[in-house]
Formats: sequence, C-alpha cells, structure tokens
Amino acid sequence: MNRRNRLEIIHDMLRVTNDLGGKILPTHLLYKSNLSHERMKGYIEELKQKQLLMEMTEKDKIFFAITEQGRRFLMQYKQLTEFAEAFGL
Amino acid sequence: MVAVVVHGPPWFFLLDAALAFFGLAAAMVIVLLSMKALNLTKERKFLYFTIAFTLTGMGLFVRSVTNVIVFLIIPYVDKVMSSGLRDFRGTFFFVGYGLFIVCSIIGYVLLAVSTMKIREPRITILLTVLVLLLLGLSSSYFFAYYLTAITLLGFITFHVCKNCLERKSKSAFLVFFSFLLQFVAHIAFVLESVHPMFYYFGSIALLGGYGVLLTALANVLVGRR
Repeated sequence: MNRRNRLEIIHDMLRVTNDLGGKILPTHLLYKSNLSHERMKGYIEELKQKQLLMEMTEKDKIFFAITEQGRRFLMQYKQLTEFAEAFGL
Repeated sequence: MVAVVVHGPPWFFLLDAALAFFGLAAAMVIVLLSMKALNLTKERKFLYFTIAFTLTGMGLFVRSVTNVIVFLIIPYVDKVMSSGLRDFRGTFFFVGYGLFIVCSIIGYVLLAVSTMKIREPRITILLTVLVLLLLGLSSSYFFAYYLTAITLLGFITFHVCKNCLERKSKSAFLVFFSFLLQFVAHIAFVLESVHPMFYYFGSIALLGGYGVLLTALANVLVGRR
C-alpha cells in the first residue's frame, strides 16, 4: 500500500468528517483517519488554523465539524485529482 | 531581406491563426487547473505541467499574431500606403515562427517529462538542450521541428493511452484521443511536401485535438468521470 502524503491525509480526515454528516467525535476521527494520536493532534491543529475544521461541544461532548472552507477544499481536491488522473500525472 | 517560405497555402494561414487561438484557449484552461494543483500540492510535476502549457499557449499566440501580421496586416498596409513593409515579411515570419517552434518544443519536452514521471531535473535540462541544439543546427527548422514534435508526441500519446487503459475513465480517454489527433496532425504536416491536402487534413486533426482536449477539461471541471 502507498504511503499517504500530507495532502492525502488532510483530505481523508475532512472526507470522513463530511461523510458522517459534517461532524465527528475525536476518537472516531482517530480511528477512521488511521493516524497515531500525536500525529492526529498536529493535523487537527493545522486544520483548525486553516479554518477547514472547527471544534464544537454538544451535550458535553467534543466534536470536530467541517467548515464551509473545508467543503470547498474537498471539492477542489476532487477536481484536481480528476485532472491529474486524466493526464496520468 | 528574408524570403517567406510557407508550408501550406498562404490563404490558409489566416484560418490557421484562428485555429491557434482555439488551442490557446485549451492551453490556458490547463494552465489555470495545473496552477491550482501546484498551489495546493507544491509538487514539481504540476510546475512542469504549468510551464509546459504556458509555453505551448505562448507559442500558439505568437504563431497566431505572426500569421495575422504577415498575411493580413502587412499586405494591406503595403497596398494602401506602399510602405515597403513587404520586404520585412520574411523577417517577421522567421522571428514569429522561430519563437513558436522554440516555445512549443520546450513545452512538449516538459509535457513528456511530467507525463513520463521523470523526476531528475538534470534529465529535463539535457533533453531540452539536445532538442534545441537539434533545431538550431538543422538546415530545415520546420522539418526538424515536426519530426521532433512527432517523436515527443508519440511518447506522450503512448503514456496517455496506457493511462486511459488503466483508468478506464471518460476524461482519460478524451485526453488520449486529443493527443492522438495532435500526433496524427503533425505527421500530416510533414507529409504536406507529398501533397498539399495533408496540410488541410493536419489542420483539421489539430483543431479536433484541441476541441477534444477542451471537452476533457470541461468534463473535469464539471466533475464527470
């Protein structure tokens, strides 16, 4: 299996969040994104800084929710993947 | 004074200018998409791709402007004002087409490098220098250009064909078909010396190639596989 690059990891984290209705529990994100706790913390910080993901609390539980910018990133990523695949890049 | 030695009938060069603008449109869409990809990923393959299509677009623009100047503006100005500009037609043609050839051949080299996933920058530089030397030292730069373009396009077409068979997507097929048409068009341009009909055939194939490429890009933009 190929090692994922930084961008693919970010895409995977946002995609699983989006697929689960736009918000996800930290433990589920850790499990679904297939990362170590330390690495995931780093990525979460980056995604929050770039306003692709935000932290929210509901019924005393912490969730991560995808932002509008995060959704735009997913669309843009899909388009660019298709572009690269069409040319075999 | 440099004499204009045209490949193809002069009247057709104005149609050729319009055709070049069509190719320019396709090249610009690709440049925009690959710049977006480059901004997002910072990967070198997208940098090569962006430069390749920027050069291709620049080449087509120069070719188009040259055709309009040499075959429309100069004859008109000369007829109205007897300016003697006609004497410079050859120089305009030589400089314009020289620039077009250099831009598009470096574009093809970079396109071959990025599609064949050549990671070593030294190989890219070596290929570019060799191709430019070949063109510069050739006594017939048009013939050398077409043969070099056929070789490079042959490799690119083979790669996109393999990619199309692997991906089995509509966009990949359209990209392959577009490069196949461009490859065939360049073969037809070489055969123009056998019969002038090949020049028309080549131009139509090239127009088709650009059209199919634009369709492939539209597919990507609307997200259809």
